[in-house]
Amino acid sequence: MSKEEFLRELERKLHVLNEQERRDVLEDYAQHIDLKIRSGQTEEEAVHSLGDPGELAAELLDVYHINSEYASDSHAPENAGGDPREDLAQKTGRKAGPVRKLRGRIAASSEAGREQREAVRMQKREERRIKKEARMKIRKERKKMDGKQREYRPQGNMVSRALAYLGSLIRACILLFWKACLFGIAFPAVLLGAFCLFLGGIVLVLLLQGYPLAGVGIGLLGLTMSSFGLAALILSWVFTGKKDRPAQTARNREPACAAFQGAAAGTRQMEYPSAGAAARTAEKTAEEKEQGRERTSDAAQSAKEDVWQPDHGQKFTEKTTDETGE
Amino acid sequence: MNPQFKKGVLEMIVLVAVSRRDMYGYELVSEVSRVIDVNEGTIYPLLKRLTNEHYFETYLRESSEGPPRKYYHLTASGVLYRERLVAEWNGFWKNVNNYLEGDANE
Repeated sequence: MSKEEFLRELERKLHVLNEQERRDVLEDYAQHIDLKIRSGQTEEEAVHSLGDPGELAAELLDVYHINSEYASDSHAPENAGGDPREDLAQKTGRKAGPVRKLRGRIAASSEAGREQREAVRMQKREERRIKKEARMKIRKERKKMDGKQREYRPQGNMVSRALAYLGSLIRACILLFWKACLFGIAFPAVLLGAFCLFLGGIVLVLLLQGYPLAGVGIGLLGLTMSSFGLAALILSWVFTGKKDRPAQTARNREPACAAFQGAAAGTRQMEYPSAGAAARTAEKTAEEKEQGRERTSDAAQSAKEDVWQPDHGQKFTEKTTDETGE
Repeated sequence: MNPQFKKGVLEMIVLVAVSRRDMYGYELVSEVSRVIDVNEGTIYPLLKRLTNEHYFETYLRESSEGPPRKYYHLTASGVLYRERLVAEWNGFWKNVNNYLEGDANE
């Protein structure tokens, strides 16, 4: 085994270590071999005296408390520079195909596999190009979508604002009317109850004096209780509604407020720039609610891109190491 | 020789060798090889580990020929560790030898 082969094998086995550590280790061994050769040994002997690179790698990984099983051949990338695509493939659940593995073995094992390695490199370049194109396409589509949304919004702005304002106004009116109606029912009910209570008292007195008014008395008692019950029910409705409402109205009125402030900002932006800003932020929150679903999909896309980005960067370094290594 | 014997002793020998004077990797390997027959490659992982555990510190020094060499120097905690190992070795060696001699006398 030549020095080059030994070092390459070792580097491949140590791919889990970071660049700095790996280089440090390899330099130690390279220097050792050089000094051995200088002391009169042949390259072959010098390398042989160091032992099996696999064993050395296992021992070195043990120093870093890394299970050498993890760094075994099945996980090792094809070339020593570290193949980020392999990692990506594992992350995305796409296993390296048997063809690729075989190809890797061929490429790594023989000096004569130079042409094959060249072919592999070409193929890699092709794959990279395809991936890049796909990425560009996604980006373009996203841009297009963004553009559409941006185009649409200015036209819809005034109309939607006016509609939202009108809607909230109508809603407030209905709410007020409803409340008034409820009070209109509750108030007479209370009066009726009080009146029935009064009549009940009279009937009770008459009953005690001997008049046959037991049936009327029971009827009045029932009427009193039911009318009070009705009043209590309605009042509890109204008041609990008031308690609950702040959150609800805040949500309902936000667009209206925003619309109002937006309109104000439109006319008097110089006077109330903060109102305009508030309106804009309020609008934004409303938009976010609307676009919740779209955003998440966007986020997913961008996350995907984040996975790709370092891949791209590493490819570049890999490329440079390729060039310097050869 | 049983490789299990070497493993423990190798660490002590490396520590003692470096405590005598600072050495670089190849020098150390040849020094240790004089004492015990050991696979030369395995000394580097050991050096790495001892450095990671701060028993050694390293520095580069230019050499008259070739690239700069990485010298190993024993730290204070390295000295303590070496003393502990040597003490352990002496106790171990005596006990084992006593036993072996007793065995021979019977």
